[in-house]
Amino acid sequence: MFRFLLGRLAVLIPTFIGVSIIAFSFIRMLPGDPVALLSGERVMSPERHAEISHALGFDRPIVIQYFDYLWGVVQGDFGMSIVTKKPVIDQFFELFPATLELSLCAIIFAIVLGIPAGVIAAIKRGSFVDQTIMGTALVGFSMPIFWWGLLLIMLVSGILQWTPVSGRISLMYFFPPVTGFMLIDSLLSGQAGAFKSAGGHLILPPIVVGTIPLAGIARQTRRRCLKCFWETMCARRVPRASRPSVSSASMRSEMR
Amino acid sequence: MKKLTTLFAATALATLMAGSAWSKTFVYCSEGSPEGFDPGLYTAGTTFDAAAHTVYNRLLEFKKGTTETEPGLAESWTISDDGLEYTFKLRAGVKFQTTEFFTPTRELNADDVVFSYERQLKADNPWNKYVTGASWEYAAGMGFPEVIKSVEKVDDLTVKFTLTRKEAPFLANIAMPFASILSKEYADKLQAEGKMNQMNQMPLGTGPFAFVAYQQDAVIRYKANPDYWGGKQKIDDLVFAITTDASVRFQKLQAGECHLMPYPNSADVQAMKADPNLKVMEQAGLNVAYLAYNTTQAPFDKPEVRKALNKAINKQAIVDAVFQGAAQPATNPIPPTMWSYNDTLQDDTYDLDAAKKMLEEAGVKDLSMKLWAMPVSRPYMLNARRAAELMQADFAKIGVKVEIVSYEWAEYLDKSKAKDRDGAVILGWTGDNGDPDNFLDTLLGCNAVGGNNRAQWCNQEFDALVKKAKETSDLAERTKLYEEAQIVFKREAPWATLDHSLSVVPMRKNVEGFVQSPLGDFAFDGVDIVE
Repeated sequence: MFRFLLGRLAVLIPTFIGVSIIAFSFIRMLPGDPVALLSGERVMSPERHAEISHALGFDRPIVIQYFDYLWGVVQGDFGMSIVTKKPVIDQFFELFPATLELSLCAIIFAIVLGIPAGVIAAIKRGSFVDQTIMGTALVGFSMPIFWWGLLLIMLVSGILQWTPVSGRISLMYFFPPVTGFMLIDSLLSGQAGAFKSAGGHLILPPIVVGTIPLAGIARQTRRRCLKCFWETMCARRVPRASRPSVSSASMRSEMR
Repeated sequence: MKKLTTLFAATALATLMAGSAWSKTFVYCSEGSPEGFDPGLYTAGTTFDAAAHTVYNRLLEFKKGTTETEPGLAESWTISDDGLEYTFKLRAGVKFQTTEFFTPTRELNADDVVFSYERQLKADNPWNKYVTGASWEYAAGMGFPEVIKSVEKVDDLTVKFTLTRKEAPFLANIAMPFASILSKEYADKLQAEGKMNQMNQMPLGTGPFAFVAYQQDAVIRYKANPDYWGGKQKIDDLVFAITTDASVRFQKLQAGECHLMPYPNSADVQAMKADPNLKVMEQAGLNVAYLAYNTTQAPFDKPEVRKALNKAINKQAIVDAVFQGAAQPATNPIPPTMWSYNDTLQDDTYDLDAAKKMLEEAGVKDLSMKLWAMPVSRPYMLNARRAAELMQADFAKIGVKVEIVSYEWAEYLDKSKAKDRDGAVILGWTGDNGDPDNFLDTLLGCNAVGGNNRAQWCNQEFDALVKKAKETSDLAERTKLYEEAQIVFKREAPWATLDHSLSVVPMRKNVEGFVQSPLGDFAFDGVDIVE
């Protein structure tokens, strides 16, 4: 397990460097002048253009710009946002807990529903139940989630009015962020109803974000289960003690 | 951070106490996050709605629902005979907001005005670079560094601006959001504490609403300023619920999660009008989309040719196809909500036979031309390619072959400026200050050739009228000059004026007192919720 993690990490670093080079060069090699874009339809004088280019460092060779960027990133300096003029990293961490909270809920949703669905489909292989589950999973897997999200908002929030349309908590509640996780902060605030409101806002979004992973997990689980049913049957001769149980083997495969 | 948390806790408590049954909270589903809260630093309307129209005031303000100016923090002003000195008398007794983070000890005076301008104009002002990358883009764009020679305090309530040249639109320019008046006392305190950045995060001004808190990309909270010189607002709390997706904004409005929203999808407008809980306001926006011929190149150097092509454009079809009706065909280069709009002018009627005949009479045969279509969607032109295709089809019917070309946006803007550019360019403009000069001289003046003047059109008669209007401070006289200039424009036809898009504002039925701004601002002073 440790070696496995180490191997993964070793791949991670070159991947990050590669991604940074590709992202950086794509943005800079595409046509279009970022300084000219700042002024839009308003024509900028050449002097002003040069001044702003210089201030933002666009007048230096592109390789220097890349290393400058990389050096900054290594030190945790992702630069200033051109739009808000605030450090990018600060803005990232201000919002990141929300992403994490949503992702965790979405993962829980996907696992809790996906694994049983996959197992049931495997057990009832070829049956109507199996085909329904796998069909639904295929649709879910192919769903563009921005569209799926809008559909669910229209139905559940708009027509049925069961959940709020958007946001993380009702605007009635207002308390300082402590952990950045709305579920925890709403409890800490001690305001009556705040946690319920935060929870209500965390129903539809995890469903939408979790739909594709859910479909993926269900399909994978089914495939792995079928594989290990087969292996288990072949392994009849193996002493019972060293025989992998269905669930643990399937779970380990899941992790790969 | 600790202090900030305490502050949040204190405001939270205050909000909770104020959150009882009788407090009136108005929720605006805004379209995006503000870039910051110092209006001088930015150019986006979203930022101005969040910072300038809530927290701050200007020396002059735009009269609600018009593009005319009226006294704001300046009660009155005089202009010297040579038109170079503007002396403003400030309103007495104007209080700055008292907030959790600052308690003012003095009222507004001339120092605040001098500070607010000098930070944008003087490189040696300590506030000129207080935010990394601060460039005061709007002040530069309106020519303030060249036009304003000095801003001086005469006495506590008198400020004198000296200009380098006659500039009639100056009064409209200082009513613009970037020219908001900040508190020098607050600035001094932040500077002394080494927290200058806070100016851009926790604004403090004289406006109708005081800033309470901002949660990034989520919520901005304000409360009504009880000391506001224009009287306390009818609503107690103002909340901006940032909702970037137009469909989601509509859902929130329907669900009653907000009272008013900007920029609906044009496809949703019919459903909004049909909803018994909603009402919809519509008005021509302060914009124009146009097709600019290159008037220096044959055969487009002949007005007859340009007019013939103009007659072959079915503007109504463009408005229907591109905007689903949420626009109106344009006759003049300025929108109808702007003062001096010449409504006696008639638009070229769509008539393919007449157009064909005019081309023949002008001796033009087998014309083929390039038609430039913007690659991006802008408020004045949602889909330039679709519009270009419609024109292409119509031009084909009068024997003109059209090749549609497009480039990446920054390149498009750059290439279309060239004096020897071929063909006609689709582009548009959203006005800044509601002054006709900002359209007529900026887009069609001789000195904009090779720049904003995409038609490369330098007409001495038109230019003389517009330049004279720029130097005339009498409004009635200026109006006349601009009306005449529009007649010349229509006669010479350097552009085909395509459309003015409508600004559509849906809101809950119980919202009262909201006035649509022709400048496209969303300001909530005077707004009320009736039950």
